[in-house]
Order: sequence, then C-alpha cells, then structure tokens
Amino acid sequence: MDAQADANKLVFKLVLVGDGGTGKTTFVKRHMTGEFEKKYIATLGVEVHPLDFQTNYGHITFNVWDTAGQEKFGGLRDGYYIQGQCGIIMFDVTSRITYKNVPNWHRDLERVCEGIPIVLCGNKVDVKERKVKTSNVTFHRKKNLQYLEISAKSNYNFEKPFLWLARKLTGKQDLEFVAAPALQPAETVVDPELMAKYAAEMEAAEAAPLPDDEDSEL
Amino acid sequence: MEQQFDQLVQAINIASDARQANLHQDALRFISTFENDHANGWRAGLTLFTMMNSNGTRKYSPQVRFFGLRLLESFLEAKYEPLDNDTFQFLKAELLDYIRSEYLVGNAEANTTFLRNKLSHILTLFFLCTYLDQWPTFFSDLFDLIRPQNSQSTSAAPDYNPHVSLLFFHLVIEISGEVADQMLKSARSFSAVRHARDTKVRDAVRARDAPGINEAVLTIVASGAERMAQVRKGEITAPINQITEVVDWGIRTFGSYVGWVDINLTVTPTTIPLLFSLLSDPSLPIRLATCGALLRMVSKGLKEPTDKLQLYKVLSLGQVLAALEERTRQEQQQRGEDTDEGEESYREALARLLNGLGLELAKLMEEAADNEDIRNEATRQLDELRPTTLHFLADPFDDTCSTIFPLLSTVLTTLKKAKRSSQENLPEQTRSFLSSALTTILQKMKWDEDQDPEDMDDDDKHAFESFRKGDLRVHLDSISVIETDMVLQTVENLIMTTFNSYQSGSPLKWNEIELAVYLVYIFGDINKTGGKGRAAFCHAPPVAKEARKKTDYSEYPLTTHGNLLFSMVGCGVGSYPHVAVTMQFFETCARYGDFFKVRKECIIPLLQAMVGPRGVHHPETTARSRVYYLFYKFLKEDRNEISPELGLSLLEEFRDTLAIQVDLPELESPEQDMLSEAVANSGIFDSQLYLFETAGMLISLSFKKPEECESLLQGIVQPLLQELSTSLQRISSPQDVVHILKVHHTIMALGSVAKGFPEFPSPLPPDYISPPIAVFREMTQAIVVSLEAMNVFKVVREATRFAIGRIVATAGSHVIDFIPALMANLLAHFEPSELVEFLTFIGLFMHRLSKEIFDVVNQLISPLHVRIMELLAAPVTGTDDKITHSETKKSYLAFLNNVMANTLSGVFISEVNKAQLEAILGFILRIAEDLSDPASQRLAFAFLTKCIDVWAREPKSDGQPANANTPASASMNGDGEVPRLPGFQHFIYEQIVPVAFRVPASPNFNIKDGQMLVVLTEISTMLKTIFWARDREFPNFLVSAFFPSMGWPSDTATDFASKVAEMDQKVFRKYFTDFVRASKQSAGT
Repeated sequence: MDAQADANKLVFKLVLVGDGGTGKTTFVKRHMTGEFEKKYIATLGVEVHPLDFQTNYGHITFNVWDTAGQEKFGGLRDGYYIQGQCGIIMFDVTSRITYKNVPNWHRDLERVCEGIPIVLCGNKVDVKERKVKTSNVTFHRKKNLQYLEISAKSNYNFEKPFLWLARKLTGKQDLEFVAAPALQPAETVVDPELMAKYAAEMEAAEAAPLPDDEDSEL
Repeated sequence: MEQQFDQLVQAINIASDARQANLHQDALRFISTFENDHANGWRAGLTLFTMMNSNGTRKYSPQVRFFGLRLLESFLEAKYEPLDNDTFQFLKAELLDYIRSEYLVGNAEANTTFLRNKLSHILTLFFLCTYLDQWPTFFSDLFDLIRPQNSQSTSAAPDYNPHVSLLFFHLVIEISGEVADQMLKSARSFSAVRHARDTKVRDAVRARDAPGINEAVLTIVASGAERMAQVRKGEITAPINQITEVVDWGIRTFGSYVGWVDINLTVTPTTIPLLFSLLSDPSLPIRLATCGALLRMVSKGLKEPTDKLQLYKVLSLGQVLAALEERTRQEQQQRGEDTDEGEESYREALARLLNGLGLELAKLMEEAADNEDIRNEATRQLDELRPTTLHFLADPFDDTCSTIFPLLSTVLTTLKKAKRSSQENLPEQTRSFLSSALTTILQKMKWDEDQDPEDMDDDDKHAFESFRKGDLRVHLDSISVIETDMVLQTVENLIMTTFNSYQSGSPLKWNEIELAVYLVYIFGDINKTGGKGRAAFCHAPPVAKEARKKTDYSEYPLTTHGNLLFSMVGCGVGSYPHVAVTMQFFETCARYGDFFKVRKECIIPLLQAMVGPRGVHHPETTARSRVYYLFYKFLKEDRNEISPELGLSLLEEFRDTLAIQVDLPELESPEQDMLSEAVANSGIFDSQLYLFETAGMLISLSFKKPEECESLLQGIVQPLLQELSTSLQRISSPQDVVHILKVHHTIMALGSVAKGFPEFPSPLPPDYISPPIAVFREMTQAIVVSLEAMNVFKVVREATRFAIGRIVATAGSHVIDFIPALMANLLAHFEPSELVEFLTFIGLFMHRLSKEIFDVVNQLISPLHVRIMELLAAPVTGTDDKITHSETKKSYLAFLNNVMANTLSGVFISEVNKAQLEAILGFILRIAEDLSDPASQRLAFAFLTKCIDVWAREPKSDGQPANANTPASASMNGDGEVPRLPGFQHFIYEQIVPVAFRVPASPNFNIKDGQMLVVLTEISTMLKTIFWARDREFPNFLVSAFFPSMGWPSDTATDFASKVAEMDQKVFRKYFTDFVRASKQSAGT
C-alpha cells in the first residue's frame, strides 16, 4: 500500500471525501472516460479507481478511493481512509451546506491519516448560480490545505489537485504532468480563448461605470 | 455466536479490500446488522478491538479493530443521557484495562496512529456522556497512568511515556473540538440538548480539572523541550523525532484549550518564556504550532478590556514579532531564488499572529471609546506594530502579504474615521506610515519581472490580476480617502517619472513601464473628483450636448488625467517591445475614449497601431483576439470622431482579418459532439465577430450617401453570402463538420455586421435615412434558406436566432415576412436546453414587433406549453437537470408575462388556444403556491394580475370600462380591442383569491426573507387589481363569502375589505404587509 518505488512507478492511496452529490464520482470518472456523468447515482460504500499520470519524474498512480458521501450508503466510512496517503475534500459551490460540512470531513480524515497533504476542491464553478463565493472559502487557510476550484463538467482545473498532491508527495516542486499516448488524454482542456473572453467580459464590466459623456457631461 | 463473529471479521476484510469490490455489497449488508443492533453492537465492537491471542498479541487486524471502534462510536455518539450503571462500569473497566495493557506495558499500537486517534475520539464520546455524573475522576484516573515510571533517573529530564502522552493530547484536542470549537460547532446541526450538555461539561472541566490538565500538558512539553535541547547538544541520545512530535502535539493541545480555560492558568511566568523559546525552535512544526497557540491566546475573549491590555503588555508580542520578522526577512534574502516553502509558511504564520493581535487591539480601541486610558494604551500598542506590518506588506510572497490585509484595512478604516471627525491634519508619523504603505502597495502592483504574463499558468496570472485589482486597489482607495492629494501626487509622480525617463532613453524594465501604464488605466478610479465624459480630461466650460461634436476642445488645458494620457501616447511606450505593455496600453486607450475626443490628434496614431502588427495583426492569437475587442470598443465610443473616409481606410486595413476560419478542437472522447464543442471553443472566431460588427459600424458612417453605403455593405456581405452558399452545397453528410461550422460561422458574421448598424428607431424621425434594407432582406433570405436546409443542426439554429435577432433590431419590420418560415424551421427540431434561448428570442420579437407578430405567437402557445410541461415533469437526476428546470420555468413565466405586456393577451383565448388556457392557469397557480421558489412565485402573481386586469374588467353601463385609469391597465387598453373573458371573475374568486391568502398564511412563508416580501407586494397589487376590475363586487365577496369561510372575525373581515377598496395601491401594500406580519406574530405566540 505504501508508495512503491518499483521501476519508477509510484503508487499513492488517495482518499476522496465530501458530502453526497458534490460530484466526487463524476470527477474521478471524468479522468478515465473523459465523459461527463450527467446522472446522479449515489456511491455505495467505496469505489476504487486507479488514475495514471505520466510526469517528468516518471509514472504516478493515484488509487482513488471514491467514498460514499451519503450517510446511509457509508459502508465502512472512515475505515476506508486507513493508510490513505493524500486526500481530496470536495464540496459543491452551489450548495452552502456542503461547504459547511467540510470541517467534519476534514476532522475525520485527519484523525485517520494524520498530516497527509489534502486539497480542498470547490466543484461546479461553471454553474452561474454560485452560493459559496471564492472569498467565503476560508477553511483551507485555517488548516493549511490547498484550495482549488474545479468544474468536473467543463474540465476546468481537472488535473490541478493531482498535480499539487503529486508535488507534495514527491517533494518535487518542478514536477509536471507530461502527455503520454498510453493514457486517456491528460492535457488540460481549459480553453485559453474562453478564459480570455471571460476576463474580457469581467473587465468590460469593470470599465462600465465610466459613463458615456453623451448623457452625463454637463 | 463464534461463527457469526468470524463472519463479521470476514465481511469487514472483504469490505476493506478494493480487489473484492464485487462482494462489497453483501459484506456491507452483513455488517450493517451489527451497526443497527444498538443493544449489542457495541459489545461486538469492543471485543473486535481488544480481543487478545494467547501470546498476548491482538487477535484481529488493525482494519477489523478499527471497525470495532466504529461500532462503539455508533453506540456512544449522540447519547445525551447517562449510561446504565452496568454498561458504564463494564466499558470503563475495559477501556482502562486496554490503555494499561497497550500503552503502559504494550507497544502502544505501534505504527497504527489511526487506532490511537480513533480511540481518543471514542474515549471523548465516553467522557462526554459520563464525566458529569458517572465518572468525575476521569482525568485523575488518566493521570495515574501517565506519570513517569522511572522518575528517579536524575540527570536527564523526566521521560514521560510518549505514547500515553500523545494519546492524552489527542484526547484533550478531541474534547476541545467537541465542546469548544466554534468551527466544528457550526458544522453540526444545532441541538439544544447537546448545546446545554457541552456548556455543562465545559464548566465542569474548568471547575475540576483544568489546572491538572494544563499542568500535565505543560510539564510534558517543558520536559520534551528540555530533552530536545539536550539531544541537540549531544548530551543525551534519544529519538528526536518522537520528542519533537510530542512537543508539537503538546503545544497544539495547549492551543486547543487556551481559549476556554482560565487565562491565569495558561499565561504564567513559566509559560510565556517557554512559548517564546518554542516560537523560534529549530523544528518547523513546533514553530507553526506555537504561532497557532499564541494566536488563540491573543484572541481569547476576556470580559475586562484592562485584563486584555494587561495580557498584551505581559506578552509584549510586538517586540518579539518585530525581531522574528527581521530575522526571517534576512534569511529569506539569503535564500534568494532557493525558495523554502516551509520557512515561508512560518513567516505567514507570524504575519497571521501579528494580524490577530492588531485586530484585537483595534477592537479594544473601538469598544473602549469612552475610556481614554484604554484607548490610548491600545492605540500605543497598535502603533507599535506599524513597522512590522509594513514589512510583512512588502513580502514578496503574496500569501504572506495578504495575511495582514485585515489588519491593514482595519487600521485604515480607523484613520478614515479619525480624519472625518477632525479637521486637523494627521500626525506626521501617521502620514509617513500611510506614505510607506502606499509606496509598498504600488510596488506590489508590479508584475514579477521574470514572469511573462503571456506564458504564465492561467491560475497564477488570474491570481495576480485579481490581487492587484482587488485587495491592493481596495487599500489604495482607502489611503486615497484619507490622504487624497498624497495618493494622486505619488501616483502621478510615479507615472510621469517613468514616462519621462523612457522618453529620455533610460533603460527601463518592462514591468516598470507596464505599472505606469496600468496606473494611468486605474487613474480614473483613484481620482474621485475627476469630471465625467470629456470633462475628465480637459477643463472646458459646459457645452450643450448637440454642440459638442462641433466644439474644438484642443484649446482647453488638460486635467491631470488628460496629461497622463497625453504623455502616455506621446512618449511612445505604446511601441515598447513587450506584449504586456502594448496590451495594457491598448486597454487604457480603449477605456478612455473620451480623452481622444479632446485631443483628436491622438486618434490616428492609436488606430494605426491598433491595425498594425502589434494590434489586429499581432502574431499571438491571444493578444490579437483581445485587440479585436479593444479596437471595436474604441471605435464604438469614438465613432463620431471618425470620418467616413477614415472609416473606409481602416476597413481596408483589416479586411484581410475577416476571413472565416474553422478551428476544430481536439475531442476528449468519442461521445462528445464535435459541432457543439467547436462552437463552444471556436478559437479566435468569437473575437472576430467584433471585427464584423466594427465593419458594419464603419460602413454605417457613410449613411448620408445611401448608395455608397449599400455598395460598401455589399462589399462585405456578398463574400459572406457566397461562402454560405458554397458551404451549403459542399455539405456531403451530417459528419461534414467543417462545412456545417462554416455555415454557422458565416451566419454569425452576418448577424454581427447587422449589429454594427444603429438600431431601427421607433417612432421613426421625419428625416430618417434608412440603412440598406435591400441588403438586409437578402441576408435574411439567405439565412432562412440555409436554416431550411440545415434545421436539424442545433448550432445552425443557434446562429440563426442570433443573426435574425440582430437584423430585426436594425431593419425593423422590413423583414417580418420571413418570420413564419423562420419559426417553422426553428421549431422543426428542438432540444430541451434550447427552450430558454428560444423563449428569449420570441420575447425580443414581441418587444420589437408587438401586434405584428400575433399570428406567430398564436400558433406557438399551445404546443409550447405542452413541451414545457413535459420537460418540467421529467425527473431531476443531477445539478444540470435542476438548473435546466429552474431556468426553463423562469423563462417561461417571463415569456407569459411578456405576451401580456406586449398586448398579445388575445392569443390565450383565441380559437386554437382556449382549450389550453385552463391548463396554463393551473400551472401558474401551482407555481404561485410553491414557496420553495419565491422568484417564480412573484412572476406567477404578476401574470395573474395582468390576466385579471385584461379579462375581468366589467364594462360600465356607459360602455366605458370600470376604473379605466388604473396604472396597470393604461398600456393594455390603448386600442380598446383587447378581448375580455366573460366569467373570469368566477375563476378569480374560486381559485386565485384562496391562493393569495393561503401563501402568506403558510407556516413556511417567512416574511423576513426579502424575496418573500416581494411576493407579498405582488399579491397586494393583485388584490388591488381585482378591486379595480370588479369594483364593489370584490369586497362584498370577501365579507359575505370568503372571509367567513376562512373563519375570520367579522370586524377584521369588514376592515380588510374596506381597506382593499379605499386605500391607494402604495398604502394598501403597507397595510397588507403589516397585516400579514401581525398575524404571523399572533400565530407564533
């Protein structure tokens, strides 16, 4: 279970936790199939998915333990965290309650996996009706976690949590993912054009208050 | 039993094994029988956890034993009454026995910290339900176990059992977490029983055991610290990592309770030196833990402000932090490029401590407004922190820098208030603090020289951009409120110095120039007293609107901002060879288009740069596409300064960029639809649309010569139409995405060209010169023909909606004859997600064309309603569905309201639709009663109000409608042709009125919720409208039939009914709100 160093291949157990419906399973499956899961099917107990990444330091596998978020389907619950080497706590930025519960998930995880690197992920940032704003997310600062906003649907920042964890676990800050033909496509799909457009729109909005002189100059 | 046990163990092993996933569900089902067995499950758990083999080892694997604890957990959690005595005694004996055997003589669960930590949680749960009554000696029993066994060995510091120590620390941290951690508390759902229990436990611990706990913790920490020192000096050999771990957790434990036990225990002549020495311990975790503990100490709530000040005096953290800040700053400089994240996180922790202390002092100043001594002392201590604050502010790591932002903004707020309440100048010392803060902030606004914004990680780039236009700007603005002139002058000096030295040929780094240009960009925001429009840039007398175009502003002197822009354009930084500078330069020019109206000589150089190789012909796609937008934005604002001739020559300069190119993205999976992906990520084409719009705009400048205008437009449109027809012919199959996309892009381009023209005015002014209508008709026809051929493709339908919408805005009803064919094709194929856009599209038509579109809407209503009901009836299986549902519902409601607002109410009761009317109204009533979605409720009531106003109005005997002057009806009855709906009043009384009263009476109706209050307002308007429509009949109905059926007292009923009739709308609204509020209160008591 420990990080094995056989033939340049590193394997880490990653524990993925968070409230039901925050998109944990969708997120993991996104990597394997590239397909966005539209239906919500609650996870029972746990599902384990090996996710492979090719890095400039060799091959890394995260065995992702995708745990049930819903109380009633919990199975062994924190029993699944045993020997986890890194973690992702996921919440849904369109649902306040899922953020409110983050401290509980964190405490349970920390109890079983003391001192492991953990990423806090705010999912569904593509949705317009956001309820948890970036500036309201403060938990990670109190507990020294990394916070990342992702959108499993649009692939936004999909690899960032894994990259951050890989760097932490290997202690190599210059670790990067490199594309490998044997894998499902791993290149980031955030469209720079689109991001530039978002930025443009935001700045346009910012510049907007300066009034048109035809109306206001007196 | 034995057998069942083995099965349980097997089931747990299977459920924990990822390789046996196919058996998990069976295993879990078996396990759950134990979990649900509240009477005995915990006994099984205890056995699993503690059972020994004959050789003294634990019988079961850690996994299984962990689950044993889990069974105990389900038994103990949420238990608020004492356990029965047998159970208590049994569990207590077993747990103590376990601790003794495992931790005192055993190997302390070596390598399985998770068992220790989980046990500490179980012990905590057991403690919580027994400490008050059954086991008051919990801690003393525990301490008996901790005491060092061999304390007679003299030279070395006493060696506490590290395992028991760690167990004890985790236990105390868990207890603090359960009874005193605010964050965990707010993460739990509130329970009054639990709240009361936690308070009692806290009080009991304070009264009985806090001194003992604290002493134990500090003794272990002090001893550990001493042993660390001895090991480091080589005096003894001991496992340093283990001792470090003990000290680290000891300090964390101290921090966990410092907030809720007596401060006299935690702040003593021995604790302070101990903490300060650990604050600069060689071990990073210990330093971080100590920062955390001190922060808790500093933030502890104390009743008396004097006590708090006394605490701070004793701590004198200010000096300690100043020294540590300086030391870590020097270390940081020595490390240079060789970043050490751990050490930076320590600096950040120090900054957080400073921030916390400063905020507490500021709070003291605020709260002790009437006690001068306290205020002065707090002020003195806070002022002492200023230099350290400034150093942290200047930290090259933005995380550290932003850690002290809350303190900085509090200090600035205090100064703002002081400045406002007094005419006197601020003391010199304060001014110099502000000036240093200002300089630091301006320097922080500079890009990192080594980073190329074009080549950076997107997240890092956005992080810096939002940092500089977010927090840094907020502080800059705050300082500017306090010392306006200082800020304006400093910024102006920085800009002018940079531009002047650039002009004189001094070598400047790109990021210095970029900063200067950026400051010009934000100068309009910083300079709050600047004028608006042209007046922001030159000192001109007021000029009447019509005369402005002809006024020569060049003779008027420039304002400061005008001067800055003039220097910026004049000194040539626009051609500095760094793309970030160029882009910021264009951004700035495009933002201040008004400046160019007062210094017209600057326009042509700018436009030349924009159409040149650094602008719309830039080799970098990102830069180029941004310039497309800026070029468009600038021209749109300054189009009145552009002569038709200049317009034409510009058009020639960028005509080559108008070629439409289809970029196909790489798909991640075969499931994805290439067409929608390619449209969503269309590369540069999205920005190219700005250029098409610009082309239309520039052509429209020649409107005074219609023939020339028409031929110019043809010059742009004909190639597009050619392209459209060629692509159409070339499409060989539905898989031929390139040509289908070409059709999509071309239609979008045509729509954008139309968008560049001014909107068709209504009403038409007498001297209006029409745009080239013939060309627009030709475009429309071509688009409709393409749609006919390709209406199965969603992307083509989308493009058509966009383009036709633009053309209708430009050409008005001149293209109306194409609309029936258009609608037929748009509706021939349809996806649920398109409904919202389609409704918006129709809404636009109704707004523009009103009555002229009656037939189209008339044909549409019934099938549309059926479609939407189907969609809303489909099950919701995820976030996406939920959003689609709610958006569709809102758009449909908005659409129905739009139909009413555009005098098209007749479509609801026409021959083809009247059969559907009841279903539509039924739907509306359901929405009106759905308290989970007040926004839709409001729209539903608004719709009902309009229905009542139009259909229920009783003609008076003289043929005039009743109360013809109601505000709601004024727009509806303009032509007197609005058909009424006889008998509608029955529907009002039987269906609508009951809902209007049921909604506010519902227990879920929360009048304090702003959205619900709006619903209430809408209802009051509706009630008033019923009166306007039906006159006395309505209050009579209320008094004689409705209120009695609701059981209202007759005087209340009469009073209410007369208020509906007599009060005007505004007064009635207030009455109704108060009425509901009062009845809620009386229902609540």
